[in-house]
Amino acid sequence: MNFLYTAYAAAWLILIVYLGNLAMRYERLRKELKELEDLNGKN
Amino acid sequence: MKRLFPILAILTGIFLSYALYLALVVAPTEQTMGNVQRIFYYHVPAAWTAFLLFTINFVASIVYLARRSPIADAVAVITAEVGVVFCTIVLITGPLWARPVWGIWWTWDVRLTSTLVLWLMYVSYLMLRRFSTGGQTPVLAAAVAIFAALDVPLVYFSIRLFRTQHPQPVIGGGGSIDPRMLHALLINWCAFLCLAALMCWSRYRLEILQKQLDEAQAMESLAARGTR
Amino acid sequence: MSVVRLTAVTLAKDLRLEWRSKDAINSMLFFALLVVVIFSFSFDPNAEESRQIAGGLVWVAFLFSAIVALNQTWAREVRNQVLDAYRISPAPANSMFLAKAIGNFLFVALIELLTTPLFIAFYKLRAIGPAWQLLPTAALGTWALVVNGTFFAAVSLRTRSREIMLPLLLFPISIPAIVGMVNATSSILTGDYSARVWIVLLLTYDVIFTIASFLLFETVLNAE
Repeated sequence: MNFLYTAYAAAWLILIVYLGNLAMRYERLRKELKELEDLNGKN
Repeated sequence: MKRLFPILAILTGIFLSYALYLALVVAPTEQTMGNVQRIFYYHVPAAWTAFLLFTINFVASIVYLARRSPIADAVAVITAEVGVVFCTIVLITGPLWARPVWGIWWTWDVRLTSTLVLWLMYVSYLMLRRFSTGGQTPVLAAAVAIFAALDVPLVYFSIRLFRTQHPQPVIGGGGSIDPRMLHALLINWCAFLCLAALMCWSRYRLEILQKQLDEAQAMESLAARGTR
Repeated sequence: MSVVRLTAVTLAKDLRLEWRSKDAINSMLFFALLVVVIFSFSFDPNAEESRQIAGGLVWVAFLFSAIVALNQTWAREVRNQVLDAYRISPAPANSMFLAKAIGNFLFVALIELLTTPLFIAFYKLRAIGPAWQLLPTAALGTWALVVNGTFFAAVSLRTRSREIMLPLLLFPISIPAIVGMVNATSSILTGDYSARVWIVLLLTYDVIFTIASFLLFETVLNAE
């Protein structure tokens, strides 16, 4: 029985970790882009 | 467009919940394996989704080499990444199913082993993309993706041949399937496909952002050069 | 200049250069020897069990030695900007690929030839099945590693950590070939099964990937 719930939980954990990783990368890129645009704006 | 995404996300969430309900509650309990068999409703759809994504990757890689279209390249990297995620789910749920039912965590069963090799090949593809310097990464990656796809039938046959000489326990068995189980399986697969599509879309947005960043960096270095 | 002649000329040049310095061949040979010795310590060469696993051990040793050989495939060309010159010239890229692949094949075959007696001695090996089948097995298996290895060595040229990228790409793709090589060799050594089906698998693998490499090498070369 334990195995059943562990398996489902593991599947969702993997998905959530990936989506979290995507979100983190997105934030990092957005921040970098913003910094660059500010820099370009000053020039 | 921006408003569409959260709506679709919520709809997919509802769909997945319904599918989960079917898998855990509605579907009949398997005779020999008991409730643990319900892992099947996630294990198999994840596998089918991963295979579909990798197939799209193969097609996208060929299209890229033929036409050098940036969208084809984006599709390739996206489907590879999301495919690896679903493939990981297959490889984790497989042993968790095998252990209580057949007493072993792993076996050189055709399907499980082929899936492992598939996972290895696409992880190496993603590593190439990450470690490659220079602007021609998409071309190299596309070549590797084609090699990986060509390898898939060979992997399958080589392991099947191995199994005919060294019989191993079979995981997942064949045989007919109860229509209610089939229903739960297919609904879960559809839900997974919706989820995969959403994940690909999210990943695509990341790709667009990356392109914008690359452009902005190019502008910046041009501007810097201009002011000197 | 025809493709065959160009390949022959390039191959001769590579062999001559290698013969003069003997850098690569010496280090590869010593590496292979070390691997055999380490295996002998790690996998106790007790007579009966060793015959079962010897097929696998031999090929793992050859695989690692091949990686050493493959990693330096394009090193000389990159150092001297030969690849740029090749891109500009009208010479067909495939002759360079073929020359490199054959050169690597000869190096790895030489290593196999010299380390096999060691394996036989350390593991007291004797082929119970038809020993002559070891020749096509070795030839096809080595070509399988070398053809993909030469291709992926070219792909890895423009990557950080070039040397690790090659095995990362090569190993997963080579799995069917490794399964074939190891099982063919084990079948011949133990005499339990016929190696024929494995040799056919190796042949199929070789044909498919040789064609694929030929079709895609020019694209990869121009991408560097």
